Amino acid sequence: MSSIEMKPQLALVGLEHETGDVRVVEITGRAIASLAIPRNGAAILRQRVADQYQTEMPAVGHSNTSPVTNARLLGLASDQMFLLFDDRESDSVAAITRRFKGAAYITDQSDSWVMFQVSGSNSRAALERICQLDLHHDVFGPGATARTMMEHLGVIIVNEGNGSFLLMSARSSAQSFWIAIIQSVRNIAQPA
Amino acid sequence: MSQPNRLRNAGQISQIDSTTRLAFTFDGKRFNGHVGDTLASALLANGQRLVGRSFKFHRPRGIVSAGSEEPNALVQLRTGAYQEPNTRATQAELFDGLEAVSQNYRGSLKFDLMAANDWLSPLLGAGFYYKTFMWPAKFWEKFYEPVIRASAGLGRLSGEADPSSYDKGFLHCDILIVGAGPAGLMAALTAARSGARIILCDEDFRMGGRLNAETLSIEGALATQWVAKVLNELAQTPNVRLLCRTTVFGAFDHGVYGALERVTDHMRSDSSRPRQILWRIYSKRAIISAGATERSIAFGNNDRPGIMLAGSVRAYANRWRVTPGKKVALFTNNDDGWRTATDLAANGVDVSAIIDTRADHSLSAPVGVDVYLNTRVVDTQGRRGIRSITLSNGRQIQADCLAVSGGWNPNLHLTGHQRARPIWNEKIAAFVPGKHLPVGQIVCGAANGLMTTSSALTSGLDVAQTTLSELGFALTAIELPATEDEPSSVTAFWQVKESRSRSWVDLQNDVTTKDIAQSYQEGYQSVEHMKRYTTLGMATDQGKTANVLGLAVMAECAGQSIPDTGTTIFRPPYSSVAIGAMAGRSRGKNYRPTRRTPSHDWALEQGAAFVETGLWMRAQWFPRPGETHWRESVDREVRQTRQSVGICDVTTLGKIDVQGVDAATYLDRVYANGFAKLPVGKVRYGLMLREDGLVMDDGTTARLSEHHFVTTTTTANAVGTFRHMEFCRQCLWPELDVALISVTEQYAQFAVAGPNSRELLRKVVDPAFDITNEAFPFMSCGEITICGGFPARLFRISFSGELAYELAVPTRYGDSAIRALMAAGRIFDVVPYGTEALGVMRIEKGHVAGNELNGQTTARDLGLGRMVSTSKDSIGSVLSRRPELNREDGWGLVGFIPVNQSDTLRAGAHFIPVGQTTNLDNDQGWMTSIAFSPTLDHYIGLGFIKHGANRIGEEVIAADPLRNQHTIVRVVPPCFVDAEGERLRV
Repeated sequence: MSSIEMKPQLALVGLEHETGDVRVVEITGRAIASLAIPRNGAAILRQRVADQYQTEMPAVGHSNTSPVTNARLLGLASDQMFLLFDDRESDSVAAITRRFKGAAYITDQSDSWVMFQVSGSNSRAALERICQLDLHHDVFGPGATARTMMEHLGVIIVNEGNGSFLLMSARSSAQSFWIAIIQSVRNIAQPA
Repeated sequence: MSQPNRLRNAGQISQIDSTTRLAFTFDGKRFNGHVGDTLASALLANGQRLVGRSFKFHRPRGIVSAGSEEPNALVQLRTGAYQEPNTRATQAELFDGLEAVSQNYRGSLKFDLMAANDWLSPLLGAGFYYKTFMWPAKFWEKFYEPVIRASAGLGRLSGEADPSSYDKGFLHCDILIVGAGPAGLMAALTAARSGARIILCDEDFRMGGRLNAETLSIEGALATQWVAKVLNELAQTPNVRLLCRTTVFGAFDHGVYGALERVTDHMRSDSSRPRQILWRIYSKRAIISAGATERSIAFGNNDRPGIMLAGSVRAYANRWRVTPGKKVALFTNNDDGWRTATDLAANGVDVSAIIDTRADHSLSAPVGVDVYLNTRVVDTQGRRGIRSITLSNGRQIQADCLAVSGGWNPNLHLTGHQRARPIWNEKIAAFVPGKHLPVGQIVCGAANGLMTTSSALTSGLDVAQTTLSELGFALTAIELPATEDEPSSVTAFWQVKESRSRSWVDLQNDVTTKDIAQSYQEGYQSVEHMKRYTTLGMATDQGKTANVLGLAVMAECAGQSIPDTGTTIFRPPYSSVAIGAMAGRSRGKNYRPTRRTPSHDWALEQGAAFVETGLWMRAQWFPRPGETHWRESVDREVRQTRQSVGICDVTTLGKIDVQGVDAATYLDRVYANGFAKLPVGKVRYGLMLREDGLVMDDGTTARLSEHHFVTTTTTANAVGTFRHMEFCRQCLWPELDVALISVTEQYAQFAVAGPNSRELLRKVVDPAFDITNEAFPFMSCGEITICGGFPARLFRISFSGELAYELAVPTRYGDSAIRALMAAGRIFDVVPYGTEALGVMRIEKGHVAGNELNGQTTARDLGLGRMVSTSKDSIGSVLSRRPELNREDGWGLVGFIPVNQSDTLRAGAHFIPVGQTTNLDNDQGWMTSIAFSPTLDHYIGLGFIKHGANRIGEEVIAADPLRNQHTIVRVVPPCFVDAEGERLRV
C-alpha cells in the first residue's frame, strides 16, 4: 500500500538538557545487536570480532571500542555482549548478522533501548542520586560497564571516559527514565 | 533590651557572628539573633525560657540541652504547607525570617487550659490508659477515644501536601566516620592522609563536636583552632567528603548506613534544591565517633524551665555567648559539671552554688562560689521557670538556672542497631558498646567511653590506623596532638530520694521515678515491659537523656545492679526522619516508572481511556462521541471486531528470543507440551508448569528457523517467565547450546482480528508475501515486509476467536504501523479495541488469562491436561501427576450463564449448591472472570467448580456475600463463541 508512509520514531524526540556543567543527551542513530556466544564457540567469535572490528571481545564488566562504525562492544555476561554501532543501511543488524556467519546468536536490540549520555564534570554527582553503583574513577573507570537498577528501571551503564556515561534502559519507560535523570541533574545544581 | 542574656564580651571560642542580625519570631513575637545561632540559643539569648508544654501534664517546659537529645524544646517551624511540628529548637539553625511557634497547649503557652492535667496527675500515673476508661464500654468509641485523641500528640501537621522536595542518593567509601568531634576528626585526618576514601558526617552544622563548646587547648592553642586546621586539610583532600548537617540514623547489613542530610532547612526558602537528602552509604568500614550525651539527675520538680544539662549550659556560654540565667546554680555528681561553673564564672556569670552529691573532690571552685558537698537538690520553686532551689540540708538558694550533670552516656545507638547489647562500665557509670558490633564497625572516643579529649584523640588515631591496616592502606606517619586531660571522674548518683515532689526521668513523656516504681510494683519487671508501660524512652528523642536514668531507677527498685537489670535495644532511626525524606522523589506520578506502548501517542489522539497494567499504560477502550458509558464503547468494539475487523496493541505481551542448536530441546523441557517437532514457520500454544506441577504461564511459540524461536508470555508474567527461563538455561541445563534475550521492547505488536483482518492486512503486507489461507494457514508465522519493504513478522494466531493475526514491527515503526493499519482498514470500518474488549472476547472464546492462571491451578483444572506430554520430561510434568492434583472431584474450568439472562455476574462469587447455605462447607468453586457478552447479549462467566465439566447443565448459586448478590447460574462449556474453531481457520 504505497500511500502509507512508515516513519521511524525516536524513543523520545532526541531530547537534550543542560544544567550547570552536566549535559544529558538522548543518543540516536545507533544500532544495538546482542551477540550470544554459541557453546564452545568463543574462539571463533573472538576471531570474528577481531577481523570485523579490530578489537578484542570485552571481559564481563568492560567495554572495548572500535573505529569500525564507531562501534563499542559491551561485555554483559560470560556468554553475551552487546555491539553498539552507527546505524547505517550498510551496517544494519541484519548485515552484521550475515557478516558474523553464525559465529554468534545475534538479536536486534536497536529498538529495545533508549540511550542517554550524561556528561560533564558533575555527571557523577548527578548519577549518585539514582545509581547504586560506585562510579568513582578508581572503581568504575573508563570502559567499565555494568547492569544495574535506577529508579526501579533496569539500566546498562558504561563509562565512556572524561566524565561521560552512557545509560541504556528500556524504551517503553524512556520518559520516566529521562525525568529521573533530569531531576538528579537539577537537584545537584547550586542555586543561582 | 535586645538579647538580654547574650554575653557581652567576645569570648574565646564564640562561633556566632555578632555583627549580623537575624530577625525571627516565636509565637508571633519578634526577636533577633545572629548567624551561627540555633533557635534555642537565640531564644535563650532573648530570655525566652518557656518554650513548650509537656506531653501529658502540660507542665511549662524550657530548653534542656543543646543538641539532638533535646526532649522539651520541640517547636513548629515555618507556616502554611511548609509547617513542620516537633522540630528541635536546639538543632534548628537560625535564619532571617524564621517563624516558630510553641506547641501542645490549649489557650496560650503561658495559660494552657490543659494544665489542669497536672492537678489530675494522681489519676494519670503509668498505665492509666489501660486501667481507666473501661466502663461503660460504649463510652470508649464515642467519648473516651475522641477526647484522648484530641488531647494527644505534639504539634499539628499542616494538613496540606508538603511542597518541599526531597531526594535520595547512594554514596560509597572505604571508611565512614560518624561524628566530627575530636575522635572523629583525628580518625578522619589519619585516614585521609593514607589515601582512603572517607565520608565524615556530623549532625551539627558546624563540625568539631564538643570542641566547639569547650575552652580546651590542643597543640598549645584553642581546640577550635585545631578543628579549623583539620577541617581545612580535610576539605582540600579529594578523597574526603564532608557532610555536616547530616545525621547517620541507622546501621544496616553489609556496612550500609542511612544518613539524612538537611540541605536547606537552615534557609528561608530554596525551592531549587531538595530540602533533605536521604543517603544510603556503602562503607567498607565505619568508625563510630558519635560522642556522648549528658544525663540528668532525678529530683523534685526537676522539669522547670531553666533547669538544664550542665554541658549544654557551658556550650551556650562558650559557643553561642549566651547565659541561660543571670544566677546559675550547679548540681552534679561528677567533675565535668564543675567545668560549667568555671566557664560561666570566667564569662562573668553569677554562679550561686555548686552542689555535689559526692563527699569529696579535688577541684577548685571559682572564687566566691559556694560549694555544698554530699548535698542534693531536693526541690525547686518557680511557676514558669525556676526561681530557687531547696537543698537536702534545708538551704534555699536563689537561681534562675540550674545546670545539672548526672554523668555522660556514650552515644552507642548505631552499635546496637543489629541487636548488639552494650556492657556496663562502672568507671563512667554508663553503658559502652559491647563486643558484637555490626560487621566492619569500630567505636572510638566518648562513644566508646573515653571521656577526655586526649583519650578521644588517641583512640581516633588508633582505630583509624587499625582500620586502614585491615583495608590494606599504607599508614602515613601522623603525630598525636598534645592536649590537656580534663577531669572527668564521676560517682553514680541517679535520684534524690528525699524529694517529696515528683521527679522527672523522661521529660518528653512525663515519666517520673514514681511511674517507674509503680510499673515495677505492678509486675513489669523487664526493661522492655517497663518501657512500654510507662512510655519511657519513646517519642522523638527516644529517651537519649532518660533511658539510663530510668534503668537506674528501675534497678534500685529491683535491688539489683544496672547490668543485671538490662537495657533496651536501639533501633533506627537515631533521630526523627521525616516521612517526606523517606519517600524522597517517589511522589505522585514519579512513584514508579510508566511504560508506554508504541501506539500510546496515537491512542491519546483517539481519546482512549487508559488503564495501568503493571507499569504499562494500556488503552482500555476508545470512546466515541455520544457514548456515555464504558460498556457502550466496549460492546461496540467487540461487535465491530467480530463483524468486520478490529485492532489492538498487544506489545505488552512478553517476547523472548530463543536461539541455539539446542533451542528446541530447551523449549521441550521448559514447556509441558512438545516443540521439537514444530515445523519452521509454525506457531504452537504452550503451557509452562512450575516445578510443583501447577501452571506458571502460557503463550505462543513461533519457530522462525531451525534454531530460532520466539516465545510470548502473558503481560503480567513477562519478567518472571524470562527470569525462570534464564534460571533453567544457566543453572539446570548449562550444557545446552541456547541463548535467550527479551525482545518485548524490540517489537511493536498489533492484533488484527475479525473476518476482514486478512483483507486489511493485504493492503499493508507487501505483495511478495502470500497470506491466503492456503499459503498462510492458522498457526503460521513468517518474516515479511510491509508498506514497501519495512521488515515485520506476521503470526496467524487468535486470542479473540476470530480469523486473526498479530503483526510485529520494530518499535520505532510502531506509531506508523498503527496509523497504517487504521488507514488500510478504513474501508472495513476498522475499530481499535482496548483491553476491555480484548478481555470480553477471550472470555467469550473461553481462553484462560491471569484470573485463571493464578498459581493455584493445574493444566487439568484448566481443561488442558492433555497438553502435558507424557512422552518427554519437562518441568512440572511429574508432579502434575500427583493424585491430589488429579482428584475426580477436583476443580474444572467451565462456563457460567445466568439462568435469568438479565442478571449480572460478579467475578469472585463462590458456587453454592441450590438450596444450601452460603458457607465454606458448601463452597464448590469460584467465578474467575465475567463479562457482558455483546455477542450473546447477556453476562457470561468462567470459573472453577468441583467435578468441572461433569456438571454441565447443572444450576448452582453464584454467591457474592460481600456485595450481597446471589445469582442462579447454569454450568455450560467454557467456550461461548465458535466452539468448533471454524472462524479461526477460514
